[in-house]
Amino acid sequence: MNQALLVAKNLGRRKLRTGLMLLALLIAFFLYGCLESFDRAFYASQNSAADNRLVSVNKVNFTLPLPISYGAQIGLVPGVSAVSYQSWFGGYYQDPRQFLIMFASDPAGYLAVYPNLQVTPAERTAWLADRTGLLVGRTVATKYHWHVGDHVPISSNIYTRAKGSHTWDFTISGIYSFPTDPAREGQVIMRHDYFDETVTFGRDTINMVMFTTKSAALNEAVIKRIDTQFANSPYETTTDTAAAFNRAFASQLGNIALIIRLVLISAFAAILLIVGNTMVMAVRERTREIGVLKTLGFSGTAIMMQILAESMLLSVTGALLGLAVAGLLITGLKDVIAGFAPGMHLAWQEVVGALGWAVVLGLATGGLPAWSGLKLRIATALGRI
Amino acid sequence: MMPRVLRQCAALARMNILSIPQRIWMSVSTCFAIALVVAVLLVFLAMGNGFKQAQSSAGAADIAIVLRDGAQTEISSTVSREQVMLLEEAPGIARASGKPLLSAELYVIVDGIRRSNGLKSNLPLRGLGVEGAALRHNVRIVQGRMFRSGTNELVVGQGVTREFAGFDLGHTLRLGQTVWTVVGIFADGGTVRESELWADVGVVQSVFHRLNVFQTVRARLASPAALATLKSHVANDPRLQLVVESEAEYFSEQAKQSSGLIQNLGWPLAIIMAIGALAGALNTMYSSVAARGTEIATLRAIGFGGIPTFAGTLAEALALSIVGGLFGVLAATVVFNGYSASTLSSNFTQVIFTFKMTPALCVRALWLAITIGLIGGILPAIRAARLPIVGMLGEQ
Amino acid sequence: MTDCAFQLRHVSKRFTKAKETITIFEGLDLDIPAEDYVAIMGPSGSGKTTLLNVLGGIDQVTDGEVLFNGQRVDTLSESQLARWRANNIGFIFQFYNLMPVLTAAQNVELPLLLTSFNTAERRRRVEIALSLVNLSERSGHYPRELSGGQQQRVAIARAIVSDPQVLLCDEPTGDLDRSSADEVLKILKLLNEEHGKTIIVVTHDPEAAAHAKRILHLNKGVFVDRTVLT
Repeated sequence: MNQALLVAKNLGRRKLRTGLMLLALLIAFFLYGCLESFDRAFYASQNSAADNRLVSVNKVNFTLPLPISYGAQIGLVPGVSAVSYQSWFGGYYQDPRQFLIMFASDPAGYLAVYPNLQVTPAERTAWLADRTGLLVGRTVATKYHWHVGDHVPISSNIYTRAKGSHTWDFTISGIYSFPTDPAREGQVIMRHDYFDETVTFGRDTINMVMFTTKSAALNEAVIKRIDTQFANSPYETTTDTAAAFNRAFASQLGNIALIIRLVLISAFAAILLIVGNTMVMAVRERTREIGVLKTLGFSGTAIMMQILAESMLLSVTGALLGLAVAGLLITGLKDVIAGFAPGMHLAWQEVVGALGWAVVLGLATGGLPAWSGLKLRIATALGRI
Repeated sequence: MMPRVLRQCAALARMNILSIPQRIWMSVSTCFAIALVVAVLLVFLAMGNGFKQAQSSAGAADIAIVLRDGAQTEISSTVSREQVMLLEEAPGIARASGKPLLSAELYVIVDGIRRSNGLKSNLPLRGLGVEGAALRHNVRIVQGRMFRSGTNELVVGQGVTREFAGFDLGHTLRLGQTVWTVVGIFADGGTVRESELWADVGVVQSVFHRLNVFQTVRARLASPAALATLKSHVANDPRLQLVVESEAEYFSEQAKQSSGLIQNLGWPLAIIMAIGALAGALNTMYSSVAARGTEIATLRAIGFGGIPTFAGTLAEALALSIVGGLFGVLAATVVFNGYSASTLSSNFTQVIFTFKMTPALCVRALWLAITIGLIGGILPAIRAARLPIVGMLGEQ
Repeated sequence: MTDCAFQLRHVSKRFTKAKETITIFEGLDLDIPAEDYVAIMGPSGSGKTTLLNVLGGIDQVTDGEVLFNGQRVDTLSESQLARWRANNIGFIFQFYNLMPVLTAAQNVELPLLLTSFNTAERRRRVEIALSLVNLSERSGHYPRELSGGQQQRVAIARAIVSDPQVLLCDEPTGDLDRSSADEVLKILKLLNEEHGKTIIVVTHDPEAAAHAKRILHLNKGVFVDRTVLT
């Protein structure tokens, strides 16, 4: 028999009440686990992009075209180490609702600018050799059950082919993974030479030039050089780091981070009130016992620690349960989640964050009753029925 | 017999509710938790509603919109000058002094700087034909005037001036190599149109190197019934690889497609949070039953049956949840009704909209509160009704 | 003996606690005539409160029969019992058990909600009941504003307001000082003598018992002594 046993006994004396408090805590931390890992996945692209990767787009807006020659011209700028470019294809598979995040790009440049894209050497060679070849992200391949070597028809909701058809035939050259930025596994890359050769309009134009610099320290000079070079031309550019570009793009969807924070604050405020009040009530019920413990020689501090340990044990258990449920859900719904938040998973950041909040919540909910336990006078406690 | 039972229920309900102050903090925290759940739900519902309304209320039944066959949105459509000329002769389109009421339009995306975070966002710049403004019944200029044909003048939706910097009346801005002047601000009852910039289509074509290219054609129909005539005419002309829809159809389809993740998050989030609040409600009600043990036993000894005892406890739970729910509705409405926000639409441009609470949405959110109250009340109420009389009478 | 209010025939009460069967009383016989005033005395655990609960239909007997005015009541269902109590029995408890959120008059009115009387009739009866216990001027007060003796008198008014034949009192003076207790006992005596109520009192207090017509001493579930007073 020790104090830990007393803590456990106190929590066990009203199992229903303890269970309900755990449920409330579980809910709060379940939301925390889900929303925080969504948040991390959603903003991953802006945080994971290498700091020497830059993009140039049309100054008016990134959806407007640039001449294809800009790729080569930017490649000549001192300090630029690798360069590629892409056009938005507006692709979909079979049904317009099954749209694809699909770009037309130059294969050699693309593989050079994204060294973290992982394909086998055979797949790489196949893509470089086959004009109609397609490089498919792992998530997309899984979704549509595509395999290397498959012939797939893909349509565009923007471009038309010479005979009025909207459908192109491709051969899947490779299926890639992209460990540093799982969102990219949701993309499909076709070759720009195939695009140029077949479209009825939009030939020789691109939407974006992606390139790397020899060192991030050169970024500023390179940006200035490029944007000055194309200033006052019919196609002015704006150049920025890929991270900054991604951040601006993500913000277009709305202030997701703010929404997540507000929801979490609401959930935690509600749970704080519920658990805090229940703890106050639970300790008040024990007033007499606390008086008895004090007459037996337990110090006020000992009583206080006991109550805090109780609330802390409760909130940490709730947090772990909530994270476990969140983890199970995220793993179980992997395929569904890949559609809107590729790469979303529960990681140490969420566990550490949740445990931190659990300690704060434990202190907050146990604080008041612990204080009254500390201050309780024996005479009052025993006089109270 | 029945009224008597009702009277007993009412009396016990009243007693329970009057006894709430004895458990005030427990009750207040439950109320507050329910209020938070209701507020979260209502804010999400109002956001989705505002977003949907901005799109679906924009369309008129007597305006036809013509897109390239297979294009889902304006941005991915193209219409050639030849096709526009063929359409001008098409049946079903209304005419004024011999000229068809039709506007061929070009839709370009340009950057705007968002006031809230200083980041770039996509705004639609629409080049309008001569009849363009007249084809939009509800639009009115609230500041300045309409642009003049052939000039670099812009009129701007009032949503744009609200959310984006640099579009106030009289401001000039540079798009590409051209400098534009904002000469007017227009309103359209909060629809998606208020998120647009308008200019002369000829000027937009030349500035953006798209001579002789259009994306959509809008036309006034001779009558809503003339839509079918126009549809079949277009379908039967092989030179017109186009589809015709009424504007109302087009916008309601847009609204359906782009009710995205955030808009649909409200219910799942609220239901998950509601389970947490339910745990609180159950705790409160079980402690209420425990605290009133002697009282309940006394009433049973006097001869009150199980039903009034059950009803009394349930009434307390419902009262707490309704008060909490009303508070949540009130708080959400005061803080968020009319809150302006924007997100990316299926046209790849920002739709600026305001959060719209409606009585129907408030009632829906209140039902969630009532459900929490019902579930949180029924189990403790059953316990109250089954409480043994013996052994509960003498305790103080 | 048709004028018997209560008849207990070979009544036993046992219950099981932690696998051990405890017998409260075994084969008990008792007749309580109408308009009787019985005090039941006995040490703690003698079964006197259980006996009172059995008479009031809030506890079940294990064996035997309980008859009220010649009718079995031990076989009634839970809801039939509730209705039977509402019509025939008034309870008075040691700790009064008034509803703290109701005024004295509202507390007294409670049992009338179980009847079909209209509002005016209910008010009239509440007034009569309160005047019988000399508390007319306190009708608007809440229990916390009343002394213990006054609260117990409100409880008596509540017990008699629906005009039941029987009053069951569990230690009615147990929590009162002497003068308050005397007042309560005086009222009970008056209710028995002037209004013909059958009164059964469980008590430790010899003075309270002395007001009764007879005293039954219960010990270990057996009546050891039947004293007839007056």
